[in-house]
Amino acid sequence: MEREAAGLEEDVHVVSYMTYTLVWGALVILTLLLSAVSVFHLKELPFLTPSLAAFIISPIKAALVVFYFMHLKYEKNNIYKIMLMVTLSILIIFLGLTWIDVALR
Amino acid sequence: MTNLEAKGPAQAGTSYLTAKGRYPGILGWLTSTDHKRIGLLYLIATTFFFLVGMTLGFIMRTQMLSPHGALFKNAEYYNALFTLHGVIMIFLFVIPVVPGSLGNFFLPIMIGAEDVAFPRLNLLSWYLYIVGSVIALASLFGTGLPDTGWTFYAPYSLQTHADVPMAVLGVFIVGFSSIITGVNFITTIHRMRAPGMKWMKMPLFPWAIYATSWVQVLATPVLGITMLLIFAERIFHVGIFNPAMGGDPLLYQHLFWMYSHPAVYIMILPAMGIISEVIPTFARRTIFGYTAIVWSTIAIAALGSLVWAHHMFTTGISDFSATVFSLLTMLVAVPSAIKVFNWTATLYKGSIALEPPMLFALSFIFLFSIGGLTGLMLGTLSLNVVLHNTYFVVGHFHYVIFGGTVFALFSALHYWFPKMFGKMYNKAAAYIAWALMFVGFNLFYFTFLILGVMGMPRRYAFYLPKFQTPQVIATVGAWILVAGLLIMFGNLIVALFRGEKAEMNPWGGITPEWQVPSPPPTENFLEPYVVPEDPYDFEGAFAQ
Amino acid sequence: MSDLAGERVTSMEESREHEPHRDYTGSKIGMWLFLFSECMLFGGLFVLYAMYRADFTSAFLAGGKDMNTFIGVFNTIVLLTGSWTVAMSITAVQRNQKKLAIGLLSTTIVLGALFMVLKLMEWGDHIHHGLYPSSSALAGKHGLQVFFSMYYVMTGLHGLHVIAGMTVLIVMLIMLIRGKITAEHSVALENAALYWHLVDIIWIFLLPLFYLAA
Repeated sequence: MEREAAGLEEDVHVVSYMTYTLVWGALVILTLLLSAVSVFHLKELPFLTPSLAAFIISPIKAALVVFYFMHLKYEKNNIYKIMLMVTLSILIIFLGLTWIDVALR
Repeated sequence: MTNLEAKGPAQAGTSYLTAKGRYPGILGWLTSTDHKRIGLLYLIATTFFFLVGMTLGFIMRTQMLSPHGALFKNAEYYNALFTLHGVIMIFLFVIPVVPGSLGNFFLPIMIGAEDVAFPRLNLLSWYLYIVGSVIALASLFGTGLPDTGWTFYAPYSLQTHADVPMAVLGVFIVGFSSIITGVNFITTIHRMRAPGMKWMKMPLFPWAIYATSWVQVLATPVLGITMLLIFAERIFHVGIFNPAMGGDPLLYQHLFWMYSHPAVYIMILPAMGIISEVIPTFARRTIFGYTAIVWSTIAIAALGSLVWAHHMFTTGISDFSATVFSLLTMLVAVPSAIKVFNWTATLYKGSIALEPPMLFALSFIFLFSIGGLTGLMLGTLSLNVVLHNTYFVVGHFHYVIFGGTVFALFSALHYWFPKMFGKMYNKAAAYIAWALMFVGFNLFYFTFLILGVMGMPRRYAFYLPKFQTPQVIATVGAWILVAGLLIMFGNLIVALFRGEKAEMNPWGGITPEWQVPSPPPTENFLEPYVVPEDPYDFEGAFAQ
Repeated sequence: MSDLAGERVTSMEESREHEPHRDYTGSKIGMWLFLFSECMLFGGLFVLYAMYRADFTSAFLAGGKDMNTFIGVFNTIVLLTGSWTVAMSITAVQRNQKKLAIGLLSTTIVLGALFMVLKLMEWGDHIHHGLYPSSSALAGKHGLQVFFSMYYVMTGLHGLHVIAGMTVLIVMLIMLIRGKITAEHSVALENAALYWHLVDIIWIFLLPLFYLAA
């Protein structure tokens, strides 16, 4: 067994179909929710603009995919999470440093 | 994906140079997944491109002997020369050379491993590099002479008759080679260190390769997308950088430098790793401040990714962002300076042997310091207004890239030559070559710094008469430099065939590569490598 | 030391000659690193989008109106479902449920194809209506030209990745059918699935950027 030969990760966590299905359900609901906010403007909640909703809901959806579908929640080794943090930080910094030019010209 | 296949039919202990694989002769080399052979493939290719780039530079220097052009009167030829010189030197030589050749050859050995994590991907990297290079150079023979500079700035690159789509496609493919190499090396260092080699016991060259690989993986894709966008604009007429269609050319520059600035750290970090290996060996002292060097390496990789707009100070970016980028630029000098102090401190009370590798390494410290200090000058907003796009910039980057990375490369070649080939070169010739190069280099590029302050703009085929004397002096410096380079290459090539046999450890080094035969066998280690407590403890280590 | 004469070999040689070195974790690390490079590739485009949206806010909102929100949302669900099925296919492989795994993996591929068909129909429709950057219909309308430039480039590059992902998944399907992917040797499929999930994540962000403006 290659995993035993690797000497590490001996029992890889097998994620149940139910877990995946629940995550899928959540993703669909979030997608529909996001679309609803864009299509139907709620006068009661004027601050809930489509942009704000996208800013909040999209990262949640992405996180669900990353942690469950891509298995990050079940990885014993923290290396993947650390590397992901590095990548996201660089991306955010690139955005921010470009922003301070474009927005303030 | 991971498949370190059996190196069979292996004759255990056979030198990698002569080991028989599935195919004989050249085909055996072109299909080998042995990291050492791939390293040599990179070395041959990059050396070839260096010589081409050097020749182009030589022609440029000849042209500049006269204010009205000593060689030709058509400025378009000059545009082609500096564009090609830049593209070849940067994308086809300096960026790939140390990771591709020395990184490939020595990283696995220096962590006590048999090969990299993904040997077949390694070979694919080399092929992508070659294919990309050919495509980039093929653009010469397309629709017009190249004339955008290696920077391909929009909107000019969107309009010129030069075959920009072909050129950027080539660069895109070469970039992919770089990304795959980075992925390979990071995985190798995480997974294949010898048992007991904790992170802080790893020699400093692998550390440098590790930091470099992160920059390769995260920054190169930004170049990739930038090149793709230029391609899309030329072919599909999208208008992302085209002002006539609402595009912002400054955003091109942001994206371009978001990679191209970290790229210079891809160039310098492995070089610094080399210096961290050479200096302790020839001072016979442990490196001063191992931990500080490790953290400085990481800091340079991280901070260096945040300073890109210092190439754009005069373009109209916001004052606030200019200030922020200037500050960050100052900050990145700090870890670099820490390293310079540490290397110098390593010399203190050391038993210094001025062998050829050491001369190049000491030169590095001097030349890189000048390069770094001139960089700080350029990073100062007020000075930048006057010095931007002058020969001062050209002098600065040749000091850091040529005086820095390339001199470190030469140091490494002289250091590791006996290990790689089992032969020793003629040291007298090496000293002569070094002396000519050092004198020629400074005569050449220090004069550039002066020319820049005098106001000579870069990329100009003709100039005002007042610049002629320094231009001639610089060209004479270039001739001396080239003479030194040719002697050096000649010396090393002759040594390949007729050099004296070198022993396992001619310099008395202590790092893992000196525990294996010269040249190493295919599998690197015949016995598993035993990790010492201190990677640079020279107690009891002697040259053999 | 050679084993050619059948002599005793050292253990290093033994492990090397008789069993190729496999490193499950190393393989996954390599794949994640490659995914990070893809993040940065698209990241550059997201940076551009953010800057242009700030410059041309009203035009970007207007451009969003020209998009078919229904197809955008439907396609999102198509990809989300594909991620669901490919994730489950790995569980199926790990539980030795080969037929189920083949079914799930095939479904993923079909969903990917459906996505591409819808996307290309959308593009065709837009182009037919003159909604592309260099069209005369948009001449002089800089904000809209940039919006549609970003739209075609971002969804186009994404589409190329969908096609690449589908190609890899088809190869995985063949390997699965031939028994090369099993519970013991599943890392190739896992890595292919990771790639597919990334393609899904990129679309998760593309959806609001282009379809759900105001």
